[in-house]
Amino acid sequence: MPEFLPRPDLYVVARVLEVLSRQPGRMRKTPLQMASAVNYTIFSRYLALLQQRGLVRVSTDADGTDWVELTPKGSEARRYLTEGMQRVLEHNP
Amino acid sequence: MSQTDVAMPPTSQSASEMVLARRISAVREIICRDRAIIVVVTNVLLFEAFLVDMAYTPTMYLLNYRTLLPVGAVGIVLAFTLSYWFRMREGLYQTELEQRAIAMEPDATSRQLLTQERLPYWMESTERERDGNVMLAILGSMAVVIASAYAGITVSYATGYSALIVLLIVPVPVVWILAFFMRRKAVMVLEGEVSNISQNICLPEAVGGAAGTPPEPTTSRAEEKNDPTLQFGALRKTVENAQSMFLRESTRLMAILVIFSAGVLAVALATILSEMQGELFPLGDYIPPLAVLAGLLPAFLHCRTRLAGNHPPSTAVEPGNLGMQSSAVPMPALVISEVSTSSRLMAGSRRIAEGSLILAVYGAAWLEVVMFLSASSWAGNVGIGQVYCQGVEMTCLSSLPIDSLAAWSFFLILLVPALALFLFLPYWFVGAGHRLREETSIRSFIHGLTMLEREFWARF
Repeated sequence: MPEFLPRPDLYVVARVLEVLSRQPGRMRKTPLQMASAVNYTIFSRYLALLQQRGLVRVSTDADGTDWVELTPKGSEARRYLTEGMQRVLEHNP
Repeated sequence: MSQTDVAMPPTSQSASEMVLARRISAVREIICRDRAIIVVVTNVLLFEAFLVDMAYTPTMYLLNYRTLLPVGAVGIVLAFTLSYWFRMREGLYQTELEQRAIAMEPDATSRQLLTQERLPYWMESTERERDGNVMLAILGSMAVVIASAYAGITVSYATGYSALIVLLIVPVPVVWILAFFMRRKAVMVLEGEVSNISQNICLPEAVGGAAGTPPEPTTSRAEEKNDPTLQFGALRKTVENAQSMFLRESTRLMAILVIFSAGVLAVALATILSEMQGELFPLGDYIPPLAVLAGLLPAFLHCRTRLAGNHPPSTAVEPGNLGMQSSAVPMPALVISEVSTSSRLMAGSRRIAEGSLILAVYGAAWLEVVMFLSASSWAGNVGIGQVYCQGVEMTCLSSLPIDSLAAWSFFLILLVPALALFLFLPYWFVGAGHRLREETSIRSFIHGLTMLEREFWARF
């Protein structure tokens, strides 16, 4: 885990993965950051963390635009979170 | 390849519900603060009763309605006011939850409609916070004045009057200044709040939407934020409305403050008159209860009005409903779950608070009774006790045929807390059980989330 995010918020991670999973393809950074409900600095740290963990992939096209997309491992992580949350909520209605 | 800066996907319920744990932690903090307040208030009430008894007993002053009435009345008024204050805190917390949840709503149109729907309620909550704080300040100062004045008078006439004058003169301007600064602070808080709302969420005025009318779909949040004319106009209008509302309310508050001050002054004057006339001046028998009532009644009416009558029907907060009758856009599941949970928790906490305060008042009244009985048992044995008991007999026991206001007041003060006890004790236990269940559920919920978090980071 990177030092600049000693205790990442799972909720932010879940939001990023969830938003990405709803897109048929890749997504630009700015709308993803807005949907994550964190400022750009924090978002960049989360993105670096997710990239380091192999949950997302960041690519840059010819005109310099950064694109973010979910990896298969990221999709699995999203499913794991969703099921885990359902499990927690079922036990605590 | 989709470029998704036009329309954002809806909020994910599964992801959004994870934020519940954080909100619940905040609710628990609020409950802890509430408990601390209850403990402080209980101790103040008991100390007040003790102080008055100690002041009266050794100096031959009599245990009569003039001791009991202020203690009981202040305690009951305080209980009502604190109840009001707890409700106000609950409203503020709901406001905060709603604002956060709405700010997280990705869809700009939904944000507009939700903000439009909830803005009056948010203003109302901020306003009530100011009212609650000022009323607490007033009542606190009133309690101090009454307790100190009674204690001071019994030391000696000369020092008693001096102390009384100082105690009467000092708190009134202090409370006025406090009220002034609280109003200033409340206005500033609201301005900041409105500014944040208008910067982060587009205001209804900014997009031309009338109340209940869905505005035209907007392009993007970035474009809304970058339109300085719309943003500035909407912000200025909202702040101006809020300021005029505050000025109107502060005038009403100041009027109440004057009545309170007059009530405190009347109590003190009546006490002085009674003492000067050696219990022969009849006015002194009637002014104290009337003065306390004069202070109590407008405060109580004010609370009732604020609680019952001033809420716009469309903005009443009902968990699961949230006053969205006029809006076509449903409130996000996140808000519903959070507000519902926090409401249940706060309701339990409030019940505990109210019940505890009533118990405290009752305890203070019974402390008086114990002192009374102790003094009676000393009759004929100890000098001070004998004199004390004779005094009691003169004012209370001899008037038991209930031919005097003193006896009526005596029984009334005992009766009211007793009735309150029987009414509130079941209420208190229900509240305690309710909160226990909620807290157990929350602990289990937070534990589940913590485990999930650990497992997730271990696996990914």
